Amino acid sequence: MSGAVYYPHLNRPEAYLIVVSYGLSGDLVVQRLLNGADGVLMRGENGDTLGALSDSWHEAASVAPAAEGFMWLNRLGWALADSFVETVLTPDPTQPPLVLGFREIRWPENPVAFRQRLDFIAGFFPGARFVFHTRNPADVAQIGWWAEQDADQVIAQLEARDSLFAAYLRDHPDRGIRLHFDDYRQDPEALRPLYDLAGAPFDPERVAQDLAAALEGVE
Amino acid sequence: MSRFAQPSGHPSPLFFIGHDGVDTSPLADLPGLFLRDGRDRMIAALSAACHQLEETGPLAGLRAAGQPTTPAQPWFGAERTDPERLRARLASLIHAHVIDPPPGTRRPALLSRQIFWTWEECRAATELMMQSHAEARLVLLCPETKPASALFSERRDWSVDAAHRAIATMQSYAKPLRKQFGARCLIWQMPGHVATPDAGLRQTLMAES
Repeated sequence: MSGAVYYPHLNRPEAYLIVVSYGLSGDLVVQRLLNGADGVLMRGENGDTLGALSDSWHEAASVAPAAEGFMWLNRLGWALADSFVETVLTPDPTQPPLVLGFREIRWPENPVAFRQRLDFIAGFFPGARFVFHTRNPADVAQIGWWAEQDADQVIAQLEARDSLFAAYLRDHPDRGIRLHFDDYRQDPEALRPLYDLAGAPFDPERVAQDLAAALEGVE
Repeated sequence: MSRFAQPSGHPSPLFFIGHDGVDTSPLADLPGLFLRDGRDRMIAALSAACHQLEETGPLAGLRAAGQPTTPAQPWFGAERTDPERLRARLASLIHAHVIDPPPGTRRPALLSRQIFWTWEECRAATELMMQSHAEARLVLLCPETKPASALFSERRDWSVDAAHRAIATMQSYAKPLRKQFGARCLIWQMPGHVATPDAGLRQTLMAES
């Protein structure tokens, strides 16, 4: 994209990383770990603000006359993404990160809407990659607000989310990775693909220490 | 910084707020008008984005607290988020991309059919639209209820009674919108716009910006 002049906030980082998950999956651990990696700034949740911006683009795409076409929609998408980076992710402009991102747990359950949301991000955030963070649904169902609901329903709901994540990765294997909480809790080496995706060095000793510290907050 | 995305000097837009019971053919007679239609859902989504950032509890609370968050917190960075700036950016985007007047346009205009907005949705969406230009004008299209209900019923395949109720709800927003935007908001009692004695409305509609 040659829009650095027009979309300066969007184009300052080299790449974007988005953690896609659901509540209490341990995804906060990933947020902490990534913020400890060199050159990475990983923001927290934003109340699905980006979701509404993505919806606006898809609504525009559905009514845009052919005459306005492809470039009009591209400029709109970049402008929306640039607005989001400037006002929600708010990296320090004097020390921009190489990799910028956020973690979000509010994603559409509808498969079409879910794909549209991620496709918008992949289309308009340079170098966007996703980390689909999962955890054994039966374990999640016993935690926090999930434990107040019917366990079978919670498990079914979380399995449906996992299926959405898997289906997206199956169709777009180059757009991200699946990261499973139970894997890296057992073996920090399972985090290596996360660091590779972020372009950050993987120092096993340091990662193990950071992981232990981060896990204290969620276990 | 002005709260408006576009100050005076650029072609000022007209935002028509109507519904499916409005016969919009009189708009075609207005001089120099470049009218876009069907952008309601897009604007509603932009307005929703502002609402999400402004109102989502933890974000608003952490901004109000003004304390720096840490990477260990779920809403890390919340205190740095800037809803006012997002609103200004999106208002600007409405002018540049939604109204998107082609070069030489004398009077860009947008027609909204409200898509069954609640009052709050209508208020928020119109506020965002009106922030796009300092001299934007809101024109509320208020046709006579009986023919409007028949037209609405035909277009939506609803019963006339249901159409009548929907129209009554949507037209009930006229008064609070007028109150909110004052002289920037005009009511067009249709039909008979330019023949009405309302000089302000006539001047606004016939002006070529």
